[in-house]
Amino acid sequence: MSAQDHEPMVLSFETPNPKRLAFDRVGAGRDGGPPEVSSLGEAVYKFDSDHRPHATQVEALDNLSAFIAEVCGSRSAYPLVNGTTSGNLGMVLATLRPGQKLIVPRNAHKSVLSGIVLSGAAPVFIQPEISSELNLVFTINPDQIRIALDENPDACAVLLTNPTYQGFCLDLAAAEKIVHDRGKLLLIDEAHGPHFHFHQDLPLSAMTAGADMAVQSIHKILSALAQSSVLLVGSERIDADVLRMAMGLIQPSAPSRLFTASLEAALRQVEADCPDMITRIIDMVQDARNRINAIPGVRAIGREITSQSRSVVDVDLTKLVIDVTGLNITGYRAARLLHDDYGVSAEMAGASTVTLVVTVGNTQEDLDRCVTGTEQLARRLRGARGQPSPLLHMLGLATPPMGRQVLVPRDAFFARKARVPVPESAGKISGESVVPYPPGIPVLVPGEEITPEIVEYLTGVRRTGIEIHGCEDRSIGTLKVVDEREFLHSVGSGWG
Amino acid sequence: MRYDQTTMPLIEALDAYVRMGKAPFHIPGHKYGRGILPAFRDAIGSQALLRDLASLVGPEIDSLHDASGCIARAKELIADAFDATHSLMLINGPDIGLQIAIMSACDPDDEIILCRNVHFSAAAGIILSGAWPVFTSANFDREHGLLENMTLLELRQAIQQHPQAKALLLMSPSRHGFAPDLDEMVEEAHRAGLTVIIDERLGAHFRFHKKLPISGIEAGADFVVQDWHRCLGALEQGAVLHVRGNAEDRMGRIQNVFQTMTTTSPSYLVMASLDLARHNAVNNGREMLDHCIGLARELAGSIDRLRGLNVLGYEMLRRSDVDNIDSTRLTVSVGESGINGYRFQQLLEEEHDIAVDGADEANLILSVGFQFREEDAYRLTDALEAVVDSYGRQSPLYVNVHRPTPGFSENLVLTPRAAFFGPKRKVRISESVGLVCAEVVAHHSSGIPLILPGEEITSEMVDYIIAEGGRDVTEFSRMDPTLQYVSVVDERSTILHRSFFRSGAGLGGKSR
Repeated sequence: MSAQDHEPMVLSFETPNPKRLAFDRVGAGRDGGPPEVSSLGEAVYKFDSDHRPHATQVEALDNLSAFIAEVCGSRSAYPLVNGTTSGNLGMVLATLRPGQKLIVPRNAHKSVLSGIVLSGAAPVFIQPEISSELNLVFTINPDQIRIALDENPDACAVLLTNPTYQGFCLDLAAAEKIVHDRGKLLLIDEAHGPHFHFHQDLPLSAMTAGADMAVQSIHKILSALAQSSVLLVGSERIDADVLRMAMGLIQPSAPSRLFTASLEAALRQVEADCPDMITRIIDMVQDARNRINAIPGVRAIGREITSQSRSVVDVDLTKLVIDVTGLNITGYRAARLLHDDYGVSAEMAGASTVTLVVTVGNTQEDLDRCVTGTEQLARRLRGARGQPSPLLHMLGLATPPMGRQVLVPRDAFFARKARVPVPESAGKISGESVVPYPPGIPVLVPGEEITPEIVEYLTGVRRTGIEIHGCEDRSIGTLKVVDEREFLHSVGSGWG
Repeated sequence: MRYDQTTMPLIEALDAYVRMGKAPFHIPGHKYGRGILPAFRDAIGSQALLRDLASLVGPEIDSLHDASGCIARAKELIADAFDATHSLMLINGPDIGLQIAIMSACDPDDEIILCRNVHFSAAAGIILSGAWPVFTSANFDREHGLLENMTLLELRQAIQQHPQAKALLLMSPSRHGFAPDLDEMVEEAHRAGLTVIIDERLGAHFRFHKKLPISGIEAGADFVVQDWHRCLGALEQGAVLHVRGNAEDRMGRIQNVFQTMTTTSPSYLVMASLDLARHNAVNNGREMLDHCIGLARELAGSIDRLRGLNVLGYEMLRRSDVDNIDSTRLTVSVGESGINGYRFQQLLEEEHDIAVDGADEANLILSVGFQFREEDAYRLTDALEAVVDSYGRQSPLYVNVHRPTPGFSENLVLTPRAAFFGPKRKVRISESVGLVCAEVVAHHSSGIPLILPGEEITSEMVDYIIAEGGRDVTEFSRMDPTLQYVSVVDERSTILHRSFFRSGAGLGGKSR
């Protein structure tokens, strides 16, 4: 296979005639952007507005889709210019009608819940395993999927997040068998795993495992521009027309050439350089992991974590997840110190961990800086007296069980709502999501009953300063609840 | 304007962050462009790539979904420049912006009044929200080959017939540059309690010049969607949604809908280009538009003098659906040259390397850009003349009455949402008359939604699609250009529920 077989594509348009005149928009200044010069440079504007004739553009995008499918090992593909979010929306909209059940882990990315709201589907949640030692969410065990499917034989699809943000992977092969044996669809949010397909030492990829659809953030791990992702279709069980119609709802009608071309560039690079490119990253990260593990007080997590988990069977070796519990500070604080004082900018922080994303764009020098920074930070904190963070105490507080789902999230999303103080919300139906970080698992999603246990938990959380996402009142003094009068007419109107 | 409009908060923050030279262990994976394919790096430049970042563990460059720093300030400056109460930066284009506005204004089963000349992306917003569209009559101007705007009279009638309607959607200006009587219509709609959404994708520059039509926010609209790529020179997919009025009540819902439709990895390049475009428009907009409007007027004069070509101009102002004209936009009627508009566009592209904004059966649409020069005008008029000389006919190719015009469906059977999600089957377009459509059929080149899900497919529409489909330049949707087949609601496997229909209507029955 070769990119040449798919010419013309987006990146490879021949250089335009410099004398070409375009009367296609008012905003077109010199080089296509505003006449003013800025630090963005002029080339990006020139590239962005160099549009070939319409027919050539259409052909180029078709060829790009075919090229993506070929490189990523799928039957067909869609380039996504509104991020993996739009792919998750598309997967849900294309496979579920209003009221149909979708089995999904409770910690799925918020775009999955957005898809559930747009489609009117009914979610059936599975609670993922939580590592109390690392204060991190692991993933789910295939047995949980089996149980959920046995309890909900009318479910249509299972949507799993694999890998997690930290690179933890579930037993995808077992999950695939369970889901497909029961004739359901398997959809994978593979945002953090677009590289899995290209190296044998990396975990099993969704397409290799036989998933029906998967979404990948090419921009996260490979080298496309931010916001550029792909949707991959792996089986004939997906109705191509319905998927096309669903994608028509959520894709801009004029996709940016910057994003589509960057997808092409990233996959051309993969085609030419993999697996060697990824071998280099794995080796570089392994070396850094060993050096960090020699620093007292910190630990870089590797494959050994699988023996401490019921759900994690494999780990993405290109991720660097550093456990800082031994330094008596939170991961949040450690990430900020590394960023502010040592020039090491991590991707994300948890209660006890800092997660770093290492890609083809990183050099050995970057990793040296990371190891040195971690070492200096550890030395500095060993000298200081450890003061256990209130956050760490808080984490012992058990997450309350989910409330009963009274309305599908869509009905709750569009329902009239009232704002009530948290203590008065018991027994009411939540109109919004409440997601405490850590651990990043929703305590409430729209449509669920607010139980007394949840009220108690939220009152407890309020005293700690744990970060709350998803709801409007971030200090969690009040909650938006569904106005009871809604019940008189709107229950079960997922079609509306 | 209350704020200092000479700053560019987001661009300045990005510049400052890049100078810090941190080791990047965050997304995007290309890391300041270092890991990107060299050919691509050369094409778009390393300056831009350095600034293609994502929200960080530090607060330096803020976060679009939870803005409190430089992005919040950039948004405030946009709102300030347009007198909006709030402005949302959109990195996914005006189509998604329009959908967000519709979903924010309409609950499931609410009615939204609109005209057939809206952009087809409105259909997606209607499907996702579950609203009932109420179309005012579609007046196709056969003489000029264009779809007319909604008039004040038609709006009044629609309000009378649908007193429960919740929202009004207007396109201003139309794709031919004709703006309706916006302030009176907004006033009328507000009197009836409607939330007014203006699709101003072609009019973001109106605010900056007094000779241009009134802008949506000035007319008092509640939501205004603008395409800043087309109008103000932002990167493609850069757009803005303005919110006006008692926005505090609405902002919670708008934010929720915005987050539902927007990637959690938004492009800083597109956001920064919005910051720059706002700065440029506020500080240089009037002079640039002065220049643009002046040259466009001269250009209109010289094109109008050419044999077979006419620029639609001030005679349009006598019509009830046109109140003002975007004078940076020229609609050139090519009917008398005997060359069809699409073909004319193709000939200009292939033989003269000139791209136009759009074409339809009878017209070419030209936009005059900020940096337009006089010599460009000469080249354009020479090219137009050459095309007419080589391909024009002595007698016009067609007589107006034979020109195919879309005959829109008048019969909405199901909500677009119910039809879209219902059981479907595929039929040949020629065998679809009388069935209920299940997908959005649009004229991609002109942007007009031809059939919405839930509408009964008419024989006029099928004739039109077959006639249009015969041309290789027509495209009905990006993903299915030829439209041989159409998805229809599978009436055999639909279990009907009372709530699908408006009271009194049944499948196949008249519901309007």
